[in-house]
Amino acid sequence: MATPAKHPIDESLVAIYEEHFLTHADTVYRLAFALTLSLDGASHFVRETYKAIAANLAKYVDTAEGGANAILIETCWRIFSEYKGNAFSGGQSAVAKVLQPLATSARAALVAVDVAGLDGASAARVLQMSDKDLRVHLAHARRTLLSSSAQL
Amino acid sequence: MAFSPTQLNDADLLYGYLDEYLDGELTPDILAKIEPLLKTPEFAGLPDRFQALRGKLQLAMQSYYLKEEELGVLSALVVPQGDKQKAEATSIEVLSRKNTHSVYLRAGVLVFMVAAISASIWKFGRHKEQKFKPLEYLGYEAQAMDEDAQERLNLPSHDAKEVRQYLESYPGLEFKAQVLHVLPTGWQVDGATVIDYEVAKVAAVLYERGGGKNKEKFFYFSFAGDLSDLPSAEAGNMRGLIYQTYTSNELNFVAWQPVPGVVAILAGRHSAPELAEIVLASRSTKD
Repeated sequence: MATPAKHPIDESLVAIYEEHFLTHADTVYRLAFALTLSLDGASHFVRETYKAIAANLAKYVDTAEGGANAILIETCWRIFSEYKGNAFSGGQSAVAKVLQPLATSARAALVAVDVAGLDGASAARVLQMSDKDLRVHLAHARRTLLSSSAQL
Repeated sequence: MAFSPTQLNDADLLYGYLDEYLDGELTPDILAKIEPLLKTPEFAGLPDRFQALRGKLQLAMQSYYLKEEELGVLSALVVPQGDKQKAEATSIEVLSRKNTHSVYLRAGVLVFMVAAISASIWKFGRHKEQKFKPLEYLGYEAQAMDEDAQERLNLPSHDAKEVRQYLESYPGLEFKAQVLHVLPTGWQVDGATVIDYEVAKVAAVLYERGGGKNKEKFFYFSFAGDLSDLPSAEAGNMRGLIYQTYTSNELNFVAWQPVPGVVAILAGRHSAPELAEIVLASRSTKD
C-alpha cells in the first residue's frame, strides 16, 4: 500500500515551509478567492500553490525569509493564469459582489497591494505585469470599488 | 523605454499611487503632479475615502481564512527525509532477511512500511473527514510518478501477470483493479501500487516505453466510484468509448467507466485522443 505522494525533504526545508510559507496561507486563500470569487476555487488554488511550493522548496532557501509572501502570490497567480479546468461557481458574499465587476488582473493587483501589502514594484514583478500595467489595474480597481454601490 | 509614472493619465496616476501618497512614500516628481489634482473638486477627499475603503476591504477579507483541517492538508504536503529513510531502511532489512520475492510477502512488508511512514508523519497533521477528489489527488500522484516513478511503485515489475496478480490479491480492495490487457507496440508495464487515501484506495499501474531521455510513461488509475463523481467535462465518444478529458499543466487525463462501480483514468503526456486509442485497443482485444 502506498501513501499519497508527498515530498520527502530535508528537515530544515520543512521548517522553512512551516515557518515562512504556511504562515501566509490565509493571504493566498484571500488572493485565490478574489480571483475565483469561489470558496471551492480558493481552496483549490491554495492547495495547488502549496503543492508547487512544497515541490520546489530548495529553490526558496535564500528568499523565503521575508519573501515568502511574494513567492506565494507569484505562484498562485501563475497557477491561476495557467489553469484550464472548469470554472468555479461564484459566491454571493459582499466581497464577491464588490470584486465581480473587475478583471482578474485588477483583482490580483488590488489584493497584492492593498490586502497583502506588497509594494508596487514587487506586485508588478510577481504578477508579471509591467509597472505601468500594475498601476493602471490598481487605479481601475480602486476607482471601481470607490464608486461601487455594493457595500463591503 | 523605462516606465515613468508621469506617463499615466491624471486619474490613473492619482488612484494608482494612493497608497504611497498616504504612506508618504511618493517621489517628489509624482507628488508634484498629484497634489494639485487633489485640490480639484473631482478628487477632493479622495485619500480619506480610499483609506476607509482599504480598511473595509482588509477587514472583509479577514473573514476568509483556512480552517484547521485545510491547514493540516497543506502541512502534510511535506515530510522530512529522515522519517522516510527510516521507514525504507526497515523495509529493506525485512526483505533481505527473508530473501524472497513473494508478492504476498511484499504486500505485507509494504503494509508495515506504510504504518511506519504514517506514524512518522502523524505529527504533521492528518486529513480529517477528507473527501476523495480523484482528479486533484491523482493529478498530483501522476506528476509525482512522472518525476520519479520507481519511488512511488510498491511493485516494480515488467511482468504483466505479476502486476495483475498483485492487484487481484491485494487485501481490502473493494473493486476490481483495472489493467490494460494489450499494449501498443513498444510499451510495457513498469509496475503497480495501491495508494491509500484513507477515504479511498486507488490502484495505479505504470506503463513505459523507450529509455533514457526518450522514456515515455502513462499511468492507469482505477478506483471505486462512478464517472459522474468527477467534475463535469465535455464527453468524448471514440468508437463507443465514452470518456471525459481533463488536463493539468503537463498531463492529460482520460476518464471512463470500464465496469459499473469502477472509474478508470489514464494519464500521460499524450493527447487525450491518443490515450483514448490506447484504452480502445486494450478493450477491443479483451472483449
